Amino acid sequence: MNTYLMKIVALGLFLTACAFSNAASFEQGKPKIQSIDVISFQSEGVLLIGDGKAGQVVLVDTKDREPQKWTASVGDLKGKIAERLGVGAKEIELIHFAVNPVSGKAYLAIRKQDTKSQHLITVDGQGKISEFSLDNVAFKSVSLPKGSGGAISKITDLAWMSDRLLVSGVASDEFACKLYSVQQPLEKQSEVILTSAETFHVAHGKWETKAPMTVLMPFEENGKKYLVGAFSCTPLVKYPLDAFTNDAKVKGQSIVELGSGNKPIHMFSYQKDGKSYVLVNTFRFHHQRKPFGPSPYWTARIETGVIGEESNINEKALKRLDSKGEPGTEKVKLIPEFHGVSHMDKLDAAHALAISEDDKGVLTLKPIALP
Amino acid sequence: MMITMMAALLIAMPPVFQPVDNFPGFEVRLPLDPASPLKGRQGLVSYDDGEKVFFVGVINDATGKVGAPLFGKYLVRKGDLVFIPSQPFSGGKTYRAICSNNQEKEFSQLKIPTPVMQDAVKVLKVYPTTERVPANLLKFTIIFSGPMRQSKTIFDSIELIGPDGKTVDDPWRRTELWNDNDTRLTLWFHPGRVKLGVNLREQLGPPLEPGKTYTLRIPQELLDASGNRLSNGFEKKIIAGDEIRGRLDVNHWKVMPPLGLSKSTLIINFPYAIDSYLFAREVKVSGPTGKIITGKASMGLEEKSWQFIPDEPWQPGEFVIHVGSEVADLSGNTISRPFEVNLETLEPLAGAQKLKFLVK
Repeated sequence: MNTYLMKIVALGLFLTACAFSNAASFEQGKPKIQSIDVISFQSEGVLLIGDGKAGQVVLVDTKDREPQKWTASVGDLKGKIAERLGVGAKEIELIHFAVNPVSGKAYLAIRKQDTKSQHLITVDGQGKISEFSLDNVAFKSVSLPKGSGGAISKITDLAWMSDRLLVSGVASDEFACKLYSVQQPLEKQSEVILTSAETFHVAHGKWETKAPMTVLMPFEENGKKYLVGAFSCTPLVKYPLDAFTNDAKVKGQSIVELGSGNKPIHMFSYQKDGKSYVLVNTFRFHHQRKPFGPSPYWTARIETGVIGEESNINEKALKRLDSKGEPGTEKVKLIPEFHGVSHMDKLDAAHALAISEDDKGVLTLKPIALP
Repeated sequence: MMITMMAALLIAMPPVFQPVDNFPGFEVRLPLDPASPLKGRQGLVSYDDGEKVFFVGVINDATGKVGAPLFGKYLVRKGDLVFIPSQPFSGGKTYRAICSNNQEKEFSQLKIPTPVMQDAVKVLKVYPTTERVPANLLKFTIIFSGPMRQSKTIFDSIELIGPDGKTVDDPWRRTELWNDNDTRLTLWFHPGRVKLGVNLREQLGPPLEPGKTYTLRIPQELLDASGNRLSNGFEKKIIAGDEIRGRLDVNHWKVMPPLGLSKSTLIINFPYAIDSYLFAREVKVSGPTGKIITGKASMGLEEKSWQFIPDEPWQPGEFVIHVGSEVADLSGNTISRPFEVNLETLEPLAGAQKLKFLVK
């Protein structure tokens, strides 16, 4: 056997062993979930469910690993799902959205209002809508410690980063941001690093506060790992992961200010034509006052060189808009093709899978080419 | 139980709606045709295979048409194909189970009675109960008499009316924070409007200005868990005072010790209103032996005092009130730090505090 072949065989054995060890720690049954706040995916089609009320992340092996081609555009998505749940479109609410990176299937967390029940719904590339039942699945859970102060009541976002799980949570009664970093292997009693984040106020160089994070994204550059977070006031802030230690207060560096009056919803990175970008969609609650487009939902593309920036940070952070409200930099662009996108995730190297909302609240799910 | 309240109206035989004692309250059965490819199977079958035999949908009251097949699972049990819906049937709706290959003739129907309307939910209380609040007030806590419907629309429904009678633009942080049974909503002001040196405040100003009067308006149109409106709307007047931006100092609190050998009340008076939920969570009293004293605690008028009545009579000796580091005022200033840290002056942070008192 030549050396190359031996390496291939060794790699195969290693991956098989990894898969086996991962599968071995899953149990079969129905996970106890109190609330589905957010969903995301680990590698290999493992669904991550953020359950703030129970203070846990539940991992579910979806066994959904067959790649598919997206040919569908699903109009009236909410109406179609509601009909399958036996109610009208106004009787359900879309809570969160993620795409299985292995299969390309869309996963939606839905709340049915009259029964207060939560449902996981899938949509495949042909537009077929199904329910993903949690009645009998391979699952395990990771407990998130309470730490000092109150327990979290809601998980605002979570993401998998090659070797660790990143989670942000907020509490009802105190203004705080709890960030969790859980190193693999993920188990119920995994060692969890809990820290809280401080954020610098970019308009003045004088103040900082605790700040609840709305969206987070793992980011790696030049061998250094970061958590990039977005807040209600729309700065993007990066936190070096090597600064995460238990009960520490990690200070972030503001890197981009997208403009006030917006709430970020989803964020992911991708590459195109040899360049790296981050795509972030937001809800503009100042749409009536000063619209950024035809819909309160708008999307920005950011060159990732901005995130690696070490000198132009905090009060010197890049601003998407200048003092007159005009575009202030070429590195951050508003993307008209994504106007109206309320939820999105990366589908493949060239597409996002996006849910757009029209002015009547009707949702359409379809792939959109990455800008 | 809802199942017992339901009445089945069978128009035709199979498929048949069958009440069951356990979740979800009903299942639908159809004896399998001897020629069915599912005959001889036992246990779960795929949804697609089951749907080819029969499916269950809801009749649209407006059009009379049957909606798309409901989510659920199919299994074969003792020669019957059984459909178990993924959730209980809803009150007031009519369900139809239809043979897929003969939709005109072979179906049965089930009408679920409309549930008896419960007493309409109302707003019981809004914290802070005081009218006079600091202009950098951080949040309201709204207590409802029954479970409410979670929905992001609450941030547009609940309004803050300014002194000019106009709605204050977008004052809320749009993150829904409900307790476990959805009877308590924590409604935060948008931090970007409250914090100093943040763009949103720079551009729009703070939501509350000192010296001005505002009204928190909770409309009757807010929906409870059953989709019904509140019994009535609720309004709360607040008068904004000066902003408070300093760390809390327990030395400004006045402790009134109880009498020994009695169950008299321990009282702490504050010079300002306190966040009652954080105080309840973060404060404990221990006795001369160090043991935590159990008893009944409550907030006083306008959250400016706290009372504690022990389960057992106070014994003479030194007692300690343990004040956790997260105890806060209405502006988020805590025992350990002000809400906003000034990087130029950077006053030292503190931890949990202890207040001692003597029982004679």
